[in-house]
Amino acid sequence: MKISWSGKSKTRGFRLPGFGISMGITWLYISIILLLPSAGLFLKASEVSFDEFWKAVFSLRALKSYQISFSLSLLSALVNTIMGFIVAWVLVRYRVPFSGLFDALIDLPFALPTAVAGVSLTWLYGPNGWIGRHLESIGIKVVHTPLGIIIALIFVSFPFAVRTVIPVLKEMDLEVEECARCLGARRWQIFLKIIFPTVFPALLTGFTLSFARALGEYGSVIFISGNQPFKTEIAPLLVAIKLEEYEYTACASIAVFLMTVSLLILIFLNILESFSKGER
Amino acid sequence: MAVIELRNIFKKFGDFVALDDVSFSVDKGELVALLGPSGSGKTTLLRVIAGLERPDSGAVFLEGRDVTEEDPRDRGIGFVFQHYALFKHMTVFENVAFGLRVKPRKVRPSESEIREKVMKLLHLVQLDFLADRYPSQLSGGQRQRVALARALAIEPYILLLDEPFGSLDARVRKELRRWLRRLHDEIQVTSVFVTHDQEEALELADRVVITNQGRVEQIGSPEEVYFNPATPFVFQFLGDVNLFHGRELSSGEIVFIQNETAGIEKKFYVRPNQVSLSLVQSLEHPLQCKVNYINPAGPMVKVEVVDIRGNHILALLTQDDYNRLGLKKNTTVYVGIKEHKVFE
Repeated sequence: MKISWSGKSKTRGFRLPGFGISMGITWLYISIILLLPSAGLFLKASEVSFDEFWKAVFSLRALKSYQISFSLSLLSALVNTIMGFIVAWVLVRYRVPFSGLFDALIDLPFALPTAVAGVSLTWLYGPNGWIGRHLESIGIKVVHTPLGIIIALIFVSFPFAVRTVIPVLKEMDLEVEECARCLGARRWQIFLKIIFPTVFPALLTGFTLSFARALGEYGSVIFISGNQPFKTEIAPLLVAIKLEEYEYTACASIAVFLMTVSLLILIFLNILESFSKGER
Repeated sequence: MAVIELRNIFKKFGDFVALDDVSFSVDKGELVALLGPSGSGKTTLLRVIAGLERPDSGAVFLEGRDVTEEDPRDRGIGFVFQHYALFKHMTVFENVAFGLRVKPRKVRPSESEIREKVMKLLHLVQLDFLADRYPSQLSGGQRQRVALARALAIEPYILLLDEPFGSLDARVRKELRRWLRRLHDEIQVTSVFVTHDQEEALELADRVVITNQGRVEQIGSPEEVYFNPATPFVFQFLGDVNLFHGRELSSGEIVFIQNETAGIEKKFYVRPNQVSLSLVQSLEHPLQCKVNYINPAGPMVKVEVVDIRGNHILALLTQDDYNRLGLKKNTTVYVGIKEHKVFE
């Protein structure tokens, strides 16, 4: 028996009512909010000659800033993914005192203005700060070094890593682990063969979001990094500096380059993610 | 020798007493049903046998060995969970192979041995054509059978099944029930299954353990528990019941007259198929009633009558008896009792 929901369904298949208008709204909204600003940037950059573009994007100082931005973001996303998993695990699996407070604290970096985060981290890790003082005495400098940048990046992107993993861990059926136990699996085998594969797609999502957030971070880093070219100057800051120096073409060129690379990385990670979810 | 032996098991969850001094044993090759209403402790009992729950006191013996403190992974028991607990990220093949792949390297079978064994098991549960599918692509009955094959892969000497047919629809459930009985006869593994469905327990099991509020009410063969229930609870749990308040005279005669004072007051438990109806009053049919409701659909006709005190009585008649009496709603009938049970 064939059930037809609308008169035309024989040729076009079933469509939920309101498809046209909701699709229209979606495209319009995405265009205004996301595409238009990016297109504007490309338009601005297209006024630049190839030589100028090349010189701006691949200057030594710019190259070094990309390296700093991408490598430190990658590192902080990695740390967050591992630590985020542990924190999420503890919050979901154990009865923790004050777990409500922990839960709220995790979201704090979302709410805190990044500049506030940057200033307080700088105080804390500075030569006279509570933590910085002791680190300094054993020869570890945080402020005005890549280490400081990593700490700031970890701080601002931490919630993503935890928030993506928690729902998956909550949804996990404890019976599945009990079943593996009855079948003779050791703890590490249960973790490796059951828990990790189940959580992996969420970990990857958390990693991607965390990485993307770290790449774009500006406010908290500029306070703690010291912004020395070739050492602690991140790419987003270079864009801002070019703007302040009225080098609009260089600014737009670097911005377009950053956007393209970031987009490519995100697309790659998204593809990886959909693969990891597999046929489930 | 008993394969499973439980001695005085107690288990509490907070203030809730889940198991209250439970003892019983299961012999080799038996298929035993744990039957009881929800919350009666039957699933907890199964988990205690598997080692997933540790009793507060008491001991579990498997093949004469005290395993009370032993981890489930070392007990070698096959456990089929109510909601199957399949590994969603693995194919049917990998699900079944899991128990073999996690074995310590020294005793782990080779890849080709694993392949052969898994396919044999999938053949046994009639699912070999689905080896490469993922659990989400299977029907409920198929998932159930995958779970069973996976449990059997480690060659358990005990198989535990928690509500094995609980989440299947009625027709699949009956099919799978008979299939499981045949499978059990074929592989002869000592099995215990939990159910709240008395029909399932009576049809499938060699012996039935009836639990209520954490205690064992009765243990026996299906015939024993059905025809000789030890307690009112067992009687009521195993089928519909009519309760008659009457008096037994010293002559042995039973009367249901309200103002009668001779003899001893007793409660008479009567199954609906032991109620007989007649159109004329007699010694065998003393109680006057009115027909309240008739449902002739099915092998037996269900007739509900109401006596003058407003008590509802359910009678099951054969289609022949029903046609002979020619009952209609509000017909006056006289109720008699063929067999009854009295609990002292």
